[in-house]
Amino acid sequence: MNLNEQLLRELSDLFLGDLRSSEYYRALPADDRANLEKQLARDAANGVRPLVPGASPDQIAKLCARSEAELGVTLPASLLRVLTVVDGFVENGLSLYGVDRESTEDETVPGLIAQNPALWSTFPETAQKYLFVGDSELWFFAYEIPTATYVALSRSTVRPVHRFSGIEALVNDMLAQAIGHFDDDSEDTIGALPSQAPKLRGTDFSLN
Amino acid sequence: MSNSSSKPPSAEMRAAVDEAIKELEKLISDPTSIGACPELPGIVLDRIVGQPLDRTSEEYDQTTKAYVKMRGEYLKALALHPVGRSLALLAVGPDGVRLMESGHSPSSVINAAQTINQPVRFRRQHYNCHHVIPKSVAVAGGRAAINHPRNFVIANTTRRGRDQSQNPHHFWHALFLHPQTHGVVDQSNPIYVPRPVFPLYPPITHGFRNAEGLRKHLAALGATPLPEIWESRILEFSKAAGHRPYSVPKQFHEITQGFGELFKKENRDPEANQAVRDKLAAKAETLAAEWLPGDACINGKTLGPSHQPKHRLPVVESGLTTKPANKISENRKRQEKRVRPPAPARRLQPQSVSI
Repeated sequence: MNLNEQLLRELSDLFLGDLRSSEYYRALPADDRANLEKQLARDAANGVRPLVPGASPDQIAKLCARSEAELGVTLPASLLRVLTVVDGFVENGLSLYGVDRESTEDETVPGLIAQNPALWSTFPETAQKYLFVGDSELWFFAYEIPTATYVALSRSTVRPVHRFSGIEALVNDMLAQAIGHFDDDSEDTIGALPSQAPKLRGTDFSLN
Repeated sequence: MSNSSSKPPSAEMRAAVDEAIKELEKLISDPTSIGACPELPGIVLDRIVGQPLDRTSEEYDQTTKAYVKMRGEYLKALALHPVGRSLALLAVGPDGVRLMESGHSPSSVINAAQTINQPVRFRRQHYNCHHVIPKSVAVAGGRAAINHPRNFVIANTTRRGRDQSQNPHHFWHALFLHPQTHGVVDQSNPIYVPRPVFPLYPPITHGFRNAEGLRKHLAALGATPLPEIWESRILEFSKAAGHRPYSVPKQFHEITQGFGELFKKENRDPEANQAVRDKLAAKAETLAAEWLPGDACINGKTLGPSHQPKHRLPVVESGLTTKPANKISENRKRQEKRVRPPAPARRLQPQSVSI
């Protein structure tokens, strides 16, 4: 399964709309606004989805090193592959964690290295058992280290409620929830713990 | 899929939101209690008696499904409510209210980061909708109220690196909810739930020293003035937060930094790993006990009658778990696709008005 390119484009379009309708954007001096638009156009010309970029190889390498040193966890190749396409996003209550920024940079999405110790200290039973990769109002999304699979955990009980076929299925599901692509038949996937993700249009897990 | 902005919230949801606002108004009578603990301004401990639900139970499943279906409509209804709208404008600003109007979680753009040779990224303040009494807790006779606007709060969940200072919901979960609901099975216990006395938390993004300044700011946002009861609460909150944007106290949002050594690679073997978890759990227990009364249970153990909490938040028994007057039907249409929010019809005044 691949990441859903159409959903990523839609998210980028929504973010551009949000930016351009924001108080911040409208308060920018004309020159700064023009410069920002020029850079967004440059990103698009370089094949980067505006405001939803992937991580660079350098950033990925640093992330891997920090994970080994600070979390004691070797990041799975599947996660790194996805981060090169979409380096996290936050929308409509959903967060896909991304590469942690340097201390001198503004963080735009929750960083993977920062989020995990925060969640491990809140939910000690998850420490070094789950690598948290994202969250929503209802779920945590995580890589279950002992089984090398991606799961949705109940936000309340921190126990698995769904097992994804892979990280792409997980991220596609998050994108669908974030944007609001919903399928009326897609709601009966929790309760049991299906090992095989059902094939549903738009999303294979989330209720909405 | 339809344009969600075109579908207004139902009369049923609007009535439920109105009920929620009125219930909040009754929750505390003395606005000065908002500053009882400046670490948690505007928070009361709501004492309920309940037990954690089995996550595979039908009740848990139904509650989750119903919530997902109603959330968008709730956000729209709150943005339309006369008091709710003014409170939302104060808490999440015009950008956030526009998103709520389209049934989505509010956020507002702070800036666009333009680093040399890097793609543009934008930084936003994010808010999520959460249950006050967790949906994983079964309260006697309270199911109808779990998925009800009376039990929702829209809380800031912005995270910057290890800095969780703008993420009060994480703080509430770490300090109160998880220690009380973890390790408890088949037994009803008192559970002290942190309940904000505002529908959005924190309720303001900057301080207000007097009612005149607050009114002026609301007028600049195009909002209707707030009733006196809400004005007093906002002013008390501002005072408790030192007339600055609220931050989770440093000793709590930096708690994880003290655990740096615990997660080293050598702690990956099962024995060392378990030791790490035990150490974390012990730390969480100690912190929770500083805030909770003696009949509270932490990790399945009652603190005991001689226990005296170090910090004393107001305790209420809100009765919000009893059957709501305006019940929300669970047979709702799911959330709809978001479209780009329309630009505001008129230019709003910048938020930096002199207060």
